[in-house]
Amino acid sequence: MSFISFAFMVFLPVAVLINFIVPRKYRYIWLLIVSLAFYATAGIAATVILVVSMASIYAAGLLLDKYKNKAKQIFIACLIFNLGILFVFKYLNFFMRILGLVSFGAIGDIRFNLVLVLGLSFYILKAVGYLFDVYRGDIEAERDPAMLALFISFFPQILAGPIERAGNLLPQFREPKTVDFDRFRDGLLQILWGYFLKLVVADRLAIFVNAVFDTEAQLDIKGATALVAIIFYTFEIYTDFAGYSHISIGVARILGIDVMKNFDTPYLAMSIAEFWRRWHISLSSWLRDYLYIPLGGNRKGTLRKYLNILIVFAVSGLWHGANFTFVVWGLLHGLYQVIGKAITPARDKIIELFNIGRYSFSHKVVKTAVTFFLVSYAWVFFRADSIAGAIRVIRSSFYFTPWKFVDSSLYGFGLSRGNFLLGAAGIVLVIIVDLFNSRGVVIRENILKQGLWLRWIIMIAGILITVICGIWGPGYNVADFIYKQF
Amino acid sequence: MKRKINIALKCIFFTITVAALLLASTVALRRKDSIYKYADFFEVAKKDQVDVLFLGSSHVINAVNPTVLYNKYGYTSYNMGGHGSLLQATYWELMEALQYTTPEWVVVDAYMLEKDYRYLDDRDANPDESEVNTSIEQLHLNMDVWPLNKLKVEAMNDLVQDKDLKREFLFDFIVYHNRWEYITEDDFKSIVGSESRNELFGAEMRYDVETAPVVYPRPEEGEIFADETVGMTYLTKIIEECQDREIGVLVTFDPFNPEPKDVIAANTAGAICSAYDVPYLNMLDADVIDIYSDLNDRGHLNVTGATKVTNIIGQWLKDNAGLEDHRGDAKYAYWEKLSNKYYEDLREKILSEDNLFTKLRALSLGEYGFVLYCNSGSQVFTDYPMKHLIKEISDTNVIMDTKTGPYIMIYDPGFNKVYEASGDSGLENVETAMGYMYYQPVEQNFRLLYEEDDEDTNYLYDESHVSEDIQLLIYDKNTGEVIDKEYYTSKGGNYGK
Repeated sequence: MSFISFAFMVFLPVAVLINFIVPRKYRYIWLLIVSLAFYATAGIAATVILVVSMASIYAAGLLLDKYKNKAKQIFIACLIFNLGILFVFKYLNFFMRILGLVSFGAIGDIRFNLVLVLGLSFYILKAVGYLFDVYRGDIEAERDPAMLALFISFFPQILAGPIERAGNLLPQFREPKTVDFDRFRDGLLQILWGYFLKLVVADRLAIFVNAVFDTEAQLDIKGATALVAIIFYTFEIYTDFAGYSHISIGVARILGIDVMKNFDTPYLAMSIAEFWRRWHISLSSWLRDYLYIPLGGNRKGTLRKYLNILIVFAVSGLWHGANFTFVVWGLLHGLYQVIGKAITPARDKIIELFNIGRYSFSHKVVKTAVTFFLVSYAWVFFRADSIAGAIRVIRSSFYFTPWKFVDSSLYGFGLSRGNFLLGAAGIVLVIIVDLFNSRGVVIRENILKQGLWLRWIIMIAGILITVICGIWGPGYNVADFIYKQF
Repeated sequence: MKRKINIALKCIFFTITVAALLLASTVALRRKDSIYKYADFFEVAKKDQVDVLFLGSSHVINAVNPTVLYNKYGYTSYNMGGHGSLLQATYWELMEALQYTTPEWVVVDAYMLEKDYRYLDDRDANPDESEVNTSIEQLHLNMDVWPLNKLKVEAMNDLVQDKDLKREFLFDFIVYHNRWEYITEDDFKSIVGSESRNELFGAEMRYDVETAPVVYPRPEEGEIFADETVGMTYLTKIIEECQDREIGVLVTFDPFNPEPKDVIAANTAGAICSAYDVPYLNMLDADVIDIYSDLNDRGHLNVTGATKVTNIIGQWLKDNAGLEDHRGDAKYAYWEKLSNKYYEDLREKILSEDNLFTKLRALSLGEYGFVLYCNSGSQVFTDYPMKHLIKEISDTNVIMDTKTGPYIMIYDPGFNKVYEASGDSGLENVETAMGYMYYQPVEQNFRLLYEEDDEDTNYLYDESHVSEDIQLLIYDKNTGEVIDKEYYTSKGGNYGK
C-alpha cells in the first residue's frame, strides 16, 4: 500500500482513530496489527520474509543476552543471515551480471525471478542497527516479540524509512505520547506538506525529467533542456524523498510517536560532508555509526580515513540500487569528500592569499553553489539508466543554448507552460522554506501560531492546491516514491 | 469539556469548509461537454416538456435537430445521442433520462448494431484501439452529467470492466482535477448553474459538404446477422423497457454513406422491430438524402441532411404518434425562443461562411433568396461536385447540360421558385422577392440583371470584379433587400473569394 493511494486514505484514519481509542498500554499491539496489515498488501511472500527477519533478530537479541561468551558468533551469524536476505532479494541478479562481466561471458546472463520485497533495504538496516546496539551493549535485548516486531515493521517507516534506532523508538512504543489536538494538527500539517512536495512538485518535475532522460539519446537533447532536467531532478529527488519523510514523520506523530528528522535543508550545505549531515540523515548517521566507525573511522590515519570514506559511500551507492550507476554516484560523493579534504590546505592558502572572508555572505554563497553543482551533477548518475547515458546528459548540459529558456522549447517535454511554471514555483517555494528552516524558523509552527482565519486559509489552500494541482489520476503515470524502490 | 467541544466544532467547520470548496472545485474543473449538452434537458424535463427522446450515437446528434422539429411540427424533443455511443451506452442513457422524464415517444437509432463486445473497455474483444479510446472518452459526454447514485453505479458496472476506469466515471474529479490550467469563465459560472449550454436541445449541426464519398457495394438484399450481437441485445432491452413503461418506441436507421455491414445492421434492426411489433424507419434505403451533398463526412450528416431527416421523422410522428402541437402555447416560449435562435444563427452562419460549397448548401435551406451567376468559361462547368450541388439545389439538369456557360440560378424561397438560364438564353419577368427580374447575357464581361422598375441597377456588373467568374447575391426572402454580394473565382477549384 502506497501513501499515495486511495486505500491509504481509508487505512490511515481507521488506524489513527482506533489508536486513539485503544488504551495506551496496548497501543503497540494495535500498531503492530496495522503495520503488518499495511505490509501484507505488498504480498504474502514479502511478509513471510519480513517475519523471518524479525524472528531472527528477536532470537539473536535474546541469545546475545544469554550467551555473552558467544556474542560475536551469534552477532555475525545473524548479521550474515539478514544481509544474506538483502543480498539474495536485492543483489543476486546484479551479482550474476557482474559474474558474467568478469568471466567475459563464460557465465551467461543468469537472472532469477525473485519476489520484490518492499522496504527490504530499510527494515534490514533498522534490524541490523538493533543487532549492533544489543551486541555493543548500548541497549538491552527486547523481550517482547511484538514490541520488536513493531520496531522493525512500524508502518509509517517500513517502506522508505527514516531508518530509526531502537533506542529512540522502543521506549516510545512502550509509552506513546498523548495525541492532543496540537500534536494532531501539527502532524496533519506535516503530512500535508509532504503530499504537496510529492504530488505537486516532485511528480510534476518528474514528467519533464523522465521525458528528457528517456529520450535524450534519440532526440539528441542539448543545452538548456539537459541543464534544466538536471536541476529539476535535483529537486525532484529531494521533494520526493523529503515529501515521503514528512508524511512518514507526520503519520507517526499523530500516532503518538516521534521519529527522527531525515532532512535538514541539504541544498544549503556548504560542503559535501555537510550535505551528508543534512541529506537522508537517518541513513548517513546509520552508515557512520554502524559502518564508518567500525571500519576505524578517522582513527587509523589519513589514507585509511579516505579509504573508509570511499567504502562507506560505495556501500551507500550500492544500498540505493543494484546497478553500477548507483555505485558511481556513491563513489563520486566519496571522491568529492576525499578530494575536498586533500586540497583543504591549498584552499586555505587561496583564501588567505586573496584575503577572502571565510564567513562573508559571498563566500558562503559560492560554497553553497559549488556544493549544489557537485551534488546535482552526481544525481545524473543516480537517475540515468547507464553510465554512458549519464555522461551524455552531463556533456549535453554544457552546450550553450540560452535562447531555449525563452523560446518555449522547454515546454515540449511533457509539461505545458502552466505546469512547467508551477513546477518552477514549487522549487522556489521549497528554497524559501529551507532558507527559513536554516535560520531555525519552522514554518509549520509559525502557521499554527497564527489566528484561526489565516491558519485556515493556509491549510485549506494547501489542501486544494495539493488535490487540484497534484499529479495523480489517469493521464499521468503516477510514480511511487523513488526511495521506495530501494 | 468546553475546550473539547470547541475543538470538535472547529474540526467540523473546517471539514465542512474543505468539503464545500472541494465540491465547488469538482464542479468548476469538470469538463463541461456533458453539462453543456444536457443542461437544458434537466430544465425541460422538470417542466415535463419532452415529447420525444432521440437516442443513439453521433449519427443522431447530427441527424435530428429538435429546434427544427419544434419549428415545423411543434413537438418537443431532446437529442440524447452520444458520440461513439454503442447501444449498451445508449440503453443506460435512456435509463438515466427516464429518472427525470417519461416521454411520449423514444426514437432510437440502431447504428452499430453489429458491435459484439460486452464492455466498452474490453480491448481483447475489440482490437480497434482508437474505437475503444473514443468510446471510453466519449462516454464521459453521456455519463458525467448524471449524479452519482445506484443507477449510475449499475450503469458503470455494466459498461466498463476495469475498476480504475469505473471509478473515473463515478468520481470524475479523478480525471478532471488537472484541468486547472484550462478553466475559463464558463467553468466558474457552472458553480452557480449559469454556464453556457447547447441551444439545440442536445443536437449539433455540421456544415461541411463531403463531395466525394467512397460508395460501398451493397450486400445481398435482406441479409441479416446470423447471431445475436451485444448491440442487438441492448436494442431489444431498450424496446422492452419502453414497452414496459408504455412509451412509444420508434427505431430508426439514420442515413449516411453505409458500408455493407451497416446495411446488414439496418436489415437486422428491421427484423427485430418486426419481432417486437414496433415501427421502423430505415432511412438508408429511403432515398432521404443525397450522399454527395448532404453529408458532412462519411458517417455524419450536414445541416441539410439533418433537416431532411428531422422532417421525415417529424412527418412520421405527425402521422402516427398523436403528439400535441405546442406552437403558440405560452408555456413553450423557451422552445419558440431557441427555435428562432437556431434560424437566426443559421442565417448568420450563412453570411459569414467563406466556403462556397458550404454556403450554397446552407442557402438551399431557404433562409435567404440568392442569385448564383457563373460566367462563361468558369471551371464550375467542369467541376462535377459543384455542378452536382447546384443540380441538387435547383432540382433540374440545366447546370449538368451547361458546357461553357454562362449560367444563372435565382433561388427564391419566398415564392418557392427556382429560375435558371444558361448560354445565350435569358430570364424575363421572373417573380422574386426583389421584384420582377430580367436577366440578359451580353458579352464575356458584361451581363444584365435588373428589376423591372429599376433598369439602372444592374446586379451582375461591378467594374472592380470583372476577373471573378462567380457572383453570389443574397437577398432577404421576404423583402427582397440585397443583404450581401460576393465574388468568387473558380480557378484551381478552390472557389476563393
